[in-house]
Amino acid sequence: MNLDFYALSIFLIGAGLAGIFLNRDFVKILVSISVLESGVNLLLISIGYVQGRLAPILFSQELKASAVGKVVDPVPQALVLTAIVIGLGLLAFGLSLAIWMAKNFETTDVSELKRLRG
Amino acid sequence: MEKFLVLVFVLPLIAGFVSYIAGLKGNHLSKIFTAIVLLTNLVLSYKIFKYVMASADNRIIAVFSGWMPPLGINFYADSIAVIFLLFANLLAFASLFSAKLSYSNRFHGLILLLTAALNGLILSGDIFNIFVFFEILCLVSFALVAYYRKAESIEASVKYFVLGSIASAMLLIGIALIYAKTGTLNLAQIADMAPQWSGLFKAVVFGLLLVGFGVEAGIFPMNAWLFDAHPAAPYPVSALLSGIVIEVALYLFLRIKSLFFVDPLFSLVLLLLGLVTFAVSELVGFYQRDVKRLLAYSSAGQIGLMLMAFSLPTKIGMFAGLLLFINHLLAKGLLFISVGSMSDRSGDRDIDRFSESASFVDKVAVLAGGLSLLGVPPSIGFMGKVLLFIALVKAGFLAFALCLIPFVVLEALYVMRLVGRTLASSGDGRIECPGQVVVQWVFTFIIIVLPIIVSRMSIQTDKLNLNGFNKQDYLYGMASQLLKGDRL
Repeated sequence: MNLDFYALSIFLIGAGLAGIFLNRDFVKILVSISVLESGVNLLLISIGYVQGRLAPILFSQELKASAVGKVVDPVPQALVLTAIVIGLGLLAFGLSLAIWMAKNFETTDVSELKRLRG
Repeated sequence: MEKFLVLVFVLPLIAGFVSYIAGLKGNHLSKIFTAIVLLTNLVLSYKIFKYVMASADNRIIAVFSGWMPPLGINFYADSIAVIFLLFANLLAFASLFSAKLSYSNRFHGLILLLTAALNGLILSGDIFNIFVFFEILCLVSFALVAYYRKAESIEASVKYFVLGSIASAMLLIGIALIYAKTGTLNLAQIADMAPQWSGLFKAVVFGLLLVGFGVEAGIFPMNAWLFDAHPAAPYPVSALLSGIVIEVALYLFLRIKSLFFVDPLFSLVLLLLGLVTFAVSELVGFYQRDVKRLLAYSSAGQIGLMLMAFSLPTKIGMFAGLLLFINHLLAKGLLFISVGSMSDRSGDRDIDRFSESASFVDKVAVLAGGLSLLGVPPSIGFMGKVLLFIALVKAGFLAFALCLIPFVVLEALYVMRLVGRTLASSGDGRIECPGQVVVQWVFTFIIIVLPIIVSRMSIQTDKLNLNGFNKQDYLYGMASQLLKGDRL
């Protein structure tokens, strides 16, 4: 069992969510979203992970023949790769939003938005 | 025909980037290119529509790179999916066609990517692919909402971004839990194992997916972004966001619900949520003065109705939901295009002043769209609402049906106010984009003609079945090898 991974991922998810709801600065919210996504990615990875097994890279013929019992589940790793790329895209877009926010409002404080536009 | 299924997704995805590059020299080139691609897509989706409706088993499956499901990924279209596909591409083409030429290549590229994501979501038979397409959809809609880069649109986009990011994280957690339990990502194989899940696990996954899809679909406690994003976006984008994006999120959630969560308790929860969404949106919408915001509240209300109709596990509820969807897509698309372009020209979105430069076609379009939206008798909006009422009563939810009535009246009141203000305007505005006039006339024509077609169809409800999601298809392969029957 890899309970410590599950515990860590749940902690990261909780910390990310708390950060999103408690912070008012948009850049800090972006950081919290990244923490949340790391937590989810860790959860995905730990689902497929088995203690003491190899990475699912079949570099030799004999490993190919007996891979099923020796390597960890490769599907979650492929999923996490995709999820990381998507997370990067989201973060990049979020940061560009933060720049436009700073240009329009001269602040990145989310709670100020309504007041400044008013 | 299987190739078309893939093409309808791949073509706009690639074209999105090409269109952006083509537009670096000027908006004309990228607009013409985008229009050609979207028209091709519309033709392709019409061919798929005709093929699936005419084929014996009403479905078509595309398998990628020779890996049979459940190992490989697949696209799947049944009669419900092709209806969504056809109308999604119709609205995408219409909203591009009605857009002003001043919108840049950024706009054209994003519209193409949005179409690709919508088509992928409608067709996908793999839950992780749904997540990926969903993320494309979210990112593209954030960017389209922020298109003007003004204070209002940035604020709307920031709200949408934060809520959307939380939602997609919840969706991914839900998918991770499902994978941990079943070891597969294929929708049908998961559906095979779903009855064995414990009640607690089902409830947790249902909650996570509800948050994940519910934010984008605009289900009540999670729809705060919608009322800022729809008004702030350019009007063709508002039409798309309101006409198809939220509906596709709803469709996905209900499709997954009908596969994994068949217990009546879940249906009851969704019925309640739908009623609350409808009631709250119509109540708040009644007091709006900003016309685009008013239409956004009405969209949220209609989503509530569709949620109620689709979560009833009967054919008549299904049919009512489809009619409500088609009606909302046509009417709200037309209203957003007309009202949005009018308020763009007069530079004011207040209900007293937005229609200062209304042209004749605007008045006709708003009249047709408004009447169809609120369900004046021969329209399909009327058929949808009446069928929903009948479906609710037949399923034993008379109280729900009665609760709907005051809010339907409320919606009628404020939509009529909007129509009245438009008709009363003495302006003689000129529409700068000729494509918009064409779209307005065509949509008005469809709204008038569609009730006749639907009533002549003599309600072939047996062809329209969301539960007709055959697990065997996914598991064992190609459409040609499939046997007819054993649909739920």
